[in-house]
Amino acid sequence: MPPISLGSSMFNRAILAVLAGAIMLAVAPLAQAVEIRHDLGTTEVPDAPKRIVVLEYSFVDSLAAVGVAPVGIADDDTRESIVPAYTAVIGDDWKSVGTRKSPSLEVIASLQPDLIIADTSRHEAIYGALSEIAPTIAFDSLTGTYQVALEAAKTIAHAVGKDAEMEARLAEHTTRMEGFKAAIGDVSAWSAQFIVDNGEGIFLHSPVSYNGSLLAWFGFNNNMPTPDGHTYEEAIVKTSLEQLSEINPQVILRGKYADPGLTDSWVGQPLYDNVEAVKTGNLVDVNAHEWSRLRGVIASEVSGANLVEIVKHLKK
Amino acid sequence: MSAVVHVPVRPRSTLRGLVLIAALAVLVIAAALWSLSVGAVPIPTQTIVNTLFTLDGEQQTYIIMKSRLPRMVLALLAGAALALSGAIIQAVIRNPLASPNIIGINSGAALFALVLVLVFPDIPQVWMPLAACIGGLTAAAFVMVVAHYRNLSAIHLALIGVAVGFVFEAGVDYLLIVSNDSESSAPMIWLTGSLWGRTWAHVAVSWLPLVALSAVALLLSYRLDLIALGEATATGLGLNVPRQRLLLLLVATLLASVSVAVVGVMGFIGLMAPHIARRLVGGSHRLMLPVAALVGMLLVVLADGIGRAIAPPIEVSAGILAALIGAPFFIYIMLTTTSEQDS
Repeated sequence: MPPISLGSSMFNRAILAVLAGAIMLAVAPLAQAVEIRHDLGTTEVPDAPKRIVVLEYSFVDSLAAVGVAPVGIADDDTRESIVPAYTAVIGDDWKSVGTRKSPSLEVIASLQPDLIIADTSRHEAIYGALSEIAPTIAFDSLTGTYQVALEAAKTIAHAVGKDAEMEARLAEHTTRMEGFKAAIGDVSAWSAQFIVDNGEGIFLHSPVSYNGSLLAWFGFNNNMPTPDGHTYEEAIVKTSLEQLSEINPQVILRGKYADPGLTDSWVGQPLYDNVEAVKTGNLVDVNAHEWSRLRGVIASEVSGANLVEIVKHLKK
Repeated sequence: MSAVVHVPVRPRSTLRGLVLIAALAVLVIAAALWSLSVGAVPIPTQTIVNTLFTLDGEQQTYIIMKSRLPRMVLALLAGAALALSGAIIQAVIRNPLASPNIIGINSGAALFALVLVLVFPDIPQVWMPLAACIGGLTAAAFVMVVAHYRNLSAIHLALIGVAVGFVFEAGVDYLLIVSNDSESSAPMIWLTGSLWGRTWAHVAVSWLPLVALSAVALLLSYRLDLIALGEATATGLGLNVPRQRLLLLLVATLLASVSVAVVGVMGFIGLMAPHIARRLVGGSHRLMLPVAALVGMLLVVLADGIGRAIAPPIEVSAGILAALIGAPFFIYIMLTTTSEQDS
């Protein structure tokens, strides 16, 4: 095919140059990358990424908070683990990329993402492999506090170009949370402890964990010693009956992943029956999945509303 | 007990051996190509060919070139290394139950690599094989030193190896319990012998030592045949037996350690592959070593492929599957071999 003649070349070139320049100027602000500082480095994220893969539930939370739907989620191969509070916003049009612990790199790659959001401790070992697929940013979801989760939510919103939306959503969040706090009232006289019972062991969420910091935000006390760091073992502490009895919380929020739980088998043992919360009937069962695995703006509001109800029924 | 190894050169024709090696090689290549085609994302053969040879048409560059291909290469390298290591150790310790796993090399390597990962999480990949080698050598050193200075029976040597292995294994268990809970741990997955998340970076740090050591192992095969004749005979034939043993154990240890550093602990391969090979071509190491290496490659590459294909997008560790596929076959071989070779 002969080249298309553009006539007088000098003139045309000038026009083309002007046109090209104009297009560049118009497109440039759209195509600008954002530099995101995160736990595993600084990463250039394309402006307003469209195909996002998330490897922890709290990142689903952050995206849902600003109305963005991910294309892939590490949902532990259980679609129901993405609760209605999230699917109401993000819909059902996402693909499972496997477990949070060892997500399938192949499936992630096949989704052709332009942003991957990973957990700092879980996915550090595969950060290099993830970065080869798409720009990857990492935040401490697993062992971070409520405050850390909110900060991560802000950074994620910035990465996906939804700063204004997140600012508005966080203002709404504060109003809601303050509302729950007011409804809960002064609980500084109570020591409250969230525990997970998986049938084989119990795990106490310490003051440096997400739930520990959330309960503290609502004004509860915690009888557990505060660890120095915030590693997984310091945030989520495997505990024996003796240790539980020593910590002796006045309120226990129990998330059971097995029925009967290990704690159920302790009923009748003096050491267990004399734990303050058990003795006074202030051991409350809560949704294990929502409390122990979900973290973030929306999740904390679900927990807050839950707490308002729980506190109404606590026995002095 | 040690009859299997003591039976030295079985009178089977070299031609038959070579044909077998060729057949196994074809099988290995077929399995390797198959492993490129399986995984959580189904990819048509045409796309795989397009990607491999950069032809026009649809390609899957990341999945084929950056995920499945490095895994395939690592599976082949580690499979051969573990099999060779096992074959050498069985011959040197003169105990058919010996393997890099049994005498503590794998646990030693795993412990040191794990310590490195946990204490210096930011350290570059390159150091992993080195740490694993130090760990593997530490474990093997006990056995080597004892073998060198005390004239112990084969069974005592193996038992000392077992004891050393337990100590290092206890160390691994302790670290996994106190420091990195299973919830957050990549080390946990790696320790089960998995190729999940392995990339060219892992190939880059391991291919040279693994290829070089495998070559050395194959070159030393005739010395294994001499040692297998028994110490007195071997010495009579002019072999410095203690020194050769030390050298062979060193090669075996490094082979197992480097593969542990990149693919984790796959205990069964080192035990199983040499026995399968011995059953196929007899005890002559000149043939048995290459056959064992091919069998090891085949087992690991198949295990990794099946592990990816079985329940996508979840992956089952190759180490677990290698034991699952290999064990029944192994037991069958043992059942049909014993009477023949004990006679």
